[in-house]
Amino acid sequence: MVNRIVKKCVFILLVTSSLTSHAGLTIGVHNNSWQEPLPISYVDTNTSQAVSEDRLGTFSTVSLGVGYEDLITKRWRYGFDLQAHYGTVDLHKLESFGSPRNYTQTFSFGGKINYRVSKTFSFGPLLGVHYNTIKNIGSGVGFSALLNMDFDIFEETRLVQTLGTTQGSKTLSYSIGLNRIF
Amino acid sequence: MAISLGFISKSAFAYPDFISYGYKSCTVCHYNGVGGGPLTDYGRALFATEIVAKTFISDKTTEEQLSASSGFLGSTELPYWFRPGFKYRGLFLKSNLGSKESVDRFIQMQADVNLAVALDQKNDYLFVGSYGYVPTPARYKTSVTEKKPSNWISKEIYFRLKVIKNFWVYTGLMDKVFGIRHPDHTAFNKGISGFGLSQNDQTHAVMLHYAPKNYEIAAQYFAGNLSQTAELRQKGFTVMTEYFPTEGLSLGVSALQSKNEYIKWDRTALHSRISFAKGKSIFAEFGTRIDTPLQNNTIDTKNGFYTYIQGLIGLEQGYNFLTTYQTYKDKLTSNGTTRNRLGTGLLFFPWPRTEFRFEVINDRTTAQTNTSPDTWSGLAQVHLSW
Repeated sequence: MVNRIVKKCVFILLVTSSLTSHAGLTIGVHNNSWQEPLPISYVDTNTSQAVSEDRLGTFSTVSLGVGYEDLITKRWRYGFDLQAHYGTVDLHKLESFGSPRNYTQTFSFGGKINYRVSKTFSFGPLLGVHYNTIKNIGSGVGFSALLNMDFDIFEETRLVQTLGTTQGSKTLSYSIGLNRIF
Repeated sequence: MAISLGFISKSAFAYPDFISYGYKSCTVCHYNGVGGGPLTDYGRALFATEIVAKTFISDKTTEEQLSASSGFLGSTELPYWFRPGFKYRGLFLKSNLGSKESVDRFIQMQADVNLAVALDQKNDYLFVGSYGYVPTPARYKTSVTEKKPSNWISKEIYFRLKVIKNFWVYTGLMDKVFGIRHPDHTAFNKGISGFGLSQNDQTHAVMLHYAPKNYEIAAQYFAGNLSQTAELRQKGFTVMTEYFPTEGLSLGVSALQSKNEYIKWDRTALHSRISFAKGKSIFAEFGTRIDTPLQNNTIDTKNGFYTYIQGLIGLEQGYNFLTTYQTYKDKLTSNGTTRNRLGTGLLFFPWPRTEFRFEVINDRTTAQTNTSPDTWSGLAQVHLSW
């Protein structure tokens, strides 16, 4: 099902990007780190009681993304992208829980509006939603609010940095990656 | 002392970020051609005219006047053979921000006096030395068995000989040549114990440095710091080269191998500096660290890697937005510990000889058996270069 959604999104992006001359497709690779609370169940070794609680997990992923961008005005630009992540989730220290490292597959979708400060630097808000599947834990949906910064290091290549937070974590979410624009 | 910057080729900078001002190599700004240490007259003049903010400088002051007053005694000219200097770096650190365990500390990171003595007007024959304060490492403050090292050490004492155009030979006590030189001595690839590249890991060495227009290469044989116990001295060689395919791009490779009686070090790195507009740059270094114990002892084997990426966005002359991202993994196995550090902040050069840094740092450590909550720190630094 996910494959079908991805294929449809790529098709829509290809069609819409051909409609305006300002528009462009982006393909990128990113390194991501964020934290979010995860529901876990375990047996407390001190009390021998079954416990169910939300525990913070640190996600460390590498993602491949495809996106679409277009100009609103000379300075303002909007865009969105879809990323497929693969990596690890480390639950924060929990002595009663045997194996706090798990593997995750996550899909994220983000929409952004960027303001161009100079020829080579733009920034703006990025709102994201992601769906993660974690081995041994299950799946869930999360939301992120980020500040997106684009550095145009070469003519068609951007270094992209994001900083912000993920719903429920009260901690920092960030990513760094490269985007190629077509 | 007055230097007309327009007549000198643009091949100097104080920080690697300043490739965005058109300066690729360190040779003209620093007496040590691979960076760090005392500034040349040109480096001082460049700092005063191109890097420092204009906010507190009168509109009537010309670049020639700024450059002329950048010497050790201001506009008072010293004899050509005598160039003293002073460097101070202080840090106010607030660790564990937002926690009850938050601690405030003021750390004197560096207080050096330095002197360059030239034997000729072209600086073909040159002695450089620096002597300075080193904070006591934390472990000595609590140890009752280990003798506290001196807080005052010689950091550099070397003789530089210009053999032919673009080719220099250095002999004496100096920094090891490896990767991108930057002032962040707490970076994972500088500050982590045993990396061998910290701000006080100078070594007695012979270095050859060749720096024509489009590339440079430095090769160094080092015998360890001779003031150290002989069996602890790391002896080996290191090579660093950078190629400049365009004005605003450098691509580099570094390799280091050394050993003492207990451990062998292998370090490699790929590094690049990219300017994407005046005052805006990114530099990145990706490297590996292999530590191999040579005896059956308690030294840990390491085969990890690190990443250091820094972006500098000039908001206007003298005022910059700084972001730094670092990763360090000590072992390439699933049970290795991964450390991530993200810093964002401001880098100001409000007036000549002065630099301020304000940063907020997030530290995130993940490990298969012990992942802890993030820690946050606040840093305020002042650097004075006289």
